[in-house]
Amino acid sequence: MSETFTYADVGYDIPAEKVTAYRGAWSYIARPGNWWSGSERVAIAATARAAVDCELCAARTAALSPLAVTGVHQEANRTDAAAGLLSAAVIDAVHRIRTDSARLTGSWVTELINDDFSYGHYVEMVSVIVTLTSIDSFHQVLGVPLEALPAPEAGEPSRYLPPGAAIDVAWVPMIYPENLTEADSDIYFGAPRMGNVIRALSLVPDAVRDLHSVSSSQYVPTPQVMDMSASGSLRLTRPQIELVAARTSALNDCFY
Amino acid sequence: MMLRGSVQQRGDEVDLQAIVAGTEVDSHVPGGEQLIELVEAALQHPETLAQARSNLSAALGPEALVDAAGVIGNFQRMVRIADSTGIPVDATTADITEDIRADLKLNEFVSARLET
Repeated sequence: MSETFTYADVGYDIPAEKVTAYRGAWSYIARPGNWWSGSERVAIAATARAAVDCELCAARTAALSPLAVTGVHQEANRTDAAAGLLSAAVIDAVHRIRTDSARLTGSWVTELINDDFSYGHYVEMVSVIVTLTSIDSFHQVLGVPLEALPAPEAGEPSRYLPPGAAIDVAWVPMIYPENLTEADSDIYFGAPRMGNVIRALSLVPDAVRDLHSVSSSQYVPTPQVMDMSASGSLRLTRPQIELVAARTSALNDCFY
Repeated sequence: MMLRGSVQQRGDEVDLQAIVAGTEVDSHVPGGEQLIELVEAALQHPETLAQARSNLSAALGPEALVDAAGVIGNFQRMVRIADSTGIPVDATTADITEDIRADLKLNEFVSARLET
């Protein structure tokens, strides 16, 4: 496999921490997960990338209600190997999460879940979408070409369901720190409490590990987030970091 | 609210209205106008992105531009995690940010009204 994220001749000095994290994220997307094969995960990533230019999604985003606009997502022009691997329902879910996430509802998520599409499938799908989104957004802001998606790795999903996950305050099952088992004891760094945005992916522990890896290179390492003087490896001050974070969240209409 | 906390930690000032009003309000954060301009270009006005990059590089340096691009990427991720899993604001955060959320009308955001 050729080397990824080389950033040759892009005109910017991209820190090694980011390169390492992004390569790790590409490996994460490519390999079989708990609920999806590597091929399906790469297909989810390809679909999330295609959603940005989807005319149906653009019409829905502009509409008063996304449910008022029907049609077919812009998948017909896809020629990559990942095309055709996902059901129409999964493709629609990926497009909505990528392009109009602020208007998702708990009942929409509940209706997605069935015998063949578990909460584990949903959380892992979200993880792949947001990993792709974070790295593609970085490239887009800098005007750097998007990295080619990774070749999928062979193998079957593990179907690992961590003990202790339960639905309480969110739409999906999550794990509290006190309910972590030894196998997953690392995902909260031993902290007695953990923010909901980290716990949100805990039904798929590797999704939390991937989140920590990429987030530590783009923002502040999770264990340091509540230290208001910490800025991790970034050259911006913490107030500058938080101004960018807050404005990005506001423009996404995100109350969190 | 991490912005307020990080500014208070340094003994500086911030106008939090810049979070919702954008470049119309001076945040008092050094380079704040160029940082916000970059976010708005990336998310709303891609045709102005080249100029926004240039302005931020001139104000804070190219390393700051790379860092800001990463922070934008990170929060493009975080907002989608929050939105797609229906998590509420953490209890401690909700308590200490009650005033800010009211002042900035964050509870009127679409995602806040679609929690269930």
